Amino acid sequence: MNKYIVGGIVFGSEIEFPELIKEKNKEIDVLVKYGEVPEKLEGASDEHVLFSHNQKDQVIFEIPEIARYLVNKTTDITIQLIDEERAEDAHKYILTFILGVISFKKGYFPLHGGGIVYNGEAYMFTGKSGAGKSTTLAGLQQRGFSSVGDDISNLFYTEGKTRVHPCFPRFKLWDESLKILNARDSGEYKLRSDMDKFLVPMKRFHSTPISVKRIYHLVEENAEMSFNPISKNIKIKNLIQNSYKPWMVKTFKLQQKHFELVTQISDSVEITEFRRPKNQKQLDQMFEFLIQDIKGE
Amino acid sequence: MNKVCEGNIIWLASYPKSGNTWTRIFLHTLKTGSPLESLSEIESTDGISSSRIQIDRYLGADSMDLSFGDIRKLKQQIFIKWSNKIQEPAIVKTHEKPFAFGQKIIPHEATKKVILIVRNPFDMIASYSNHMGISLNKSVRAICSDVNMLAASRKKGLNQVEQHIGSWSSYINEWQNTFGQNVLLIKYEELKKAPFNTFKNLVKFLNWKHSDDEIQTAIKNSDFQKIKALENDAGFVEKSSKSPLFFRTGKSGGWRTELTKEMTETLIDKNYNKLIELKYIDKERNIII
Repeated sequence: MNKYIVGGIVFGSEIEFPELIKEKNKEIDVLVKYGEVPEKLEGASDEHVLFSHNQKDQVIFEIPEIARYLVNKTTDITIQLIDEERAEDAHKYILTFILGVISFKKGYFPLHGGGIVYNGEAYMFTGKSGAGKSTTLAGLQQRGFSSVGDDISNLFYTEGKTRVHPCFPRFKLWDESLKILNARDSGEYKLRSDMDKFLVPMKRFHSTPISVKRIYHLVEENAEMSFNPISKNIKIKNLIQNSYKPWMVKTFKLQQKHFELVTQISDSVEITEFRRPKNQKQLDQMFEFLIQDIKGE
Repeated sequence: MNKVCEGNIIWLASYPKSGNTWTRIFLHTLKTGSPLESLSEIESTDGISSSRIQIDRYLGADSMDLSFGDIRKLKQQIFIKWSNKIQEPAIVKTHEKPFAFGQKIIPHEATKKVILIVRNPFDMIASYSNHMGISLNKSVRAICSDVNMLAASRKKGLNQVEQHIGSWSSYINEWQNTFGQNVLLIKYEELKKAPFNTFKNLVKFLNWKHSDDEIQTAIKNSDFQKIKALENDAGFVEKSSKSPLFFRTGKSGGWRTELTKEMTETLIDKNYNKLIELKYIDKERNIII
């Protein structure tokens, strides 16, 4: 049995995940295995095409022509392959969408984005799809920073501080971003065999929980680069919008607990909107500008 | 026989840059009874069918982690979920064609009615070119192509998912052939020339109850120059990143100074029957706009 830790959650798995950090001591939280997954859940909601959830706290998720997944409470994940030849593709969705499901159910705030480490604290990056989160994180790694993950970052609140559980040491980058960062041939492999989106190994990964200093909300603009601190009354809304698939909160009936956590994070972390340029020629200048802000120079 | 439309979505369908947004603004000002103070206020629709946020919401997944082919196959189910969710008839903007590469996209089960806004391609092409940030020549080729797409690149179409719009005439034909008598075709040129009668006809089609005075007021409140001024003041979120402004001139007949003979001939060759049917050209290929 393989044992991995991802976003503070220990996965026991009969499937190997070369992307994940191995765990030796902690007990397994979630078991990942192959098995039969029904096409439909009894008594499930009918709001989504690929996702359904019932009152027994079970989730079925399907990726057409690849696999079906059954997430039973927070304890086990069953995968049934639809196409045996696409097992590798099927496994990757455990690291994306299914991780998001488990993270919410475990009571974390899964921020849509990743982060880097400076001076013993994490600086997180969030924003809409395409805002440049992964490209920014990978670019900062090229400039010497360690990363705590990309795409989903499990935030939690303890002892008056917001902290993040590192996710796993891979960036999720489109081919175009690899080209922009001059990062092709750095061990990347496809997230899905029929798409030009890649998992790219991180060279420096910070693997233990760390307190969060600031969250940058990336906005890609055809305008001057700027940092705009987000005021207290907008921080909560901003955080809610930038969780991984915000609709899951209502689906899993987590509104109250989630709101409490969001409020605690909002009170303990700086959030700054960073308007970054669309023009790729300004990339070096952008990183310089950003690093100065992180270092407080 | 027409298949029964049994959904809740009233599609506000059009080829890009054909007056869809102007119609939405009219419907908004009619509903609210007051002029827009900002273009961000437009709330006459339940969104746009290609919005990635809406697609993900009804899909229950991250569309960025799915292939274009997956999304295309799932769209009709997504729109049925959308229709079920809204419960009461609501307008949804779309540039989609009812079918994409043989795959049904817009199902009858999600559809209540269709408002199809059509603008002559000779005037539309300059706005299209400006919006897409491509040359007039490329624009002519695009709207004459049966495989014309919007947001067809992941990097370019991040807020929206891929849409297959096909050629100008196939777009109109497909909506008419698929939804038959449930389609109200509105010509942009009629909206310009006879706004009261044309908008009144639209209001009647929607079964909305508004007096003639209210319609007149909404027409004044959605005047093109007023809208343009709003964009100049505070911008418009739906503007393409490749064009300086969303609203251009809005004029009919501008093609005379903007298109070459070769361009108009290409447009006529590809779209001849539809252009005749909609009285944009005569049988001798003269453009009558």
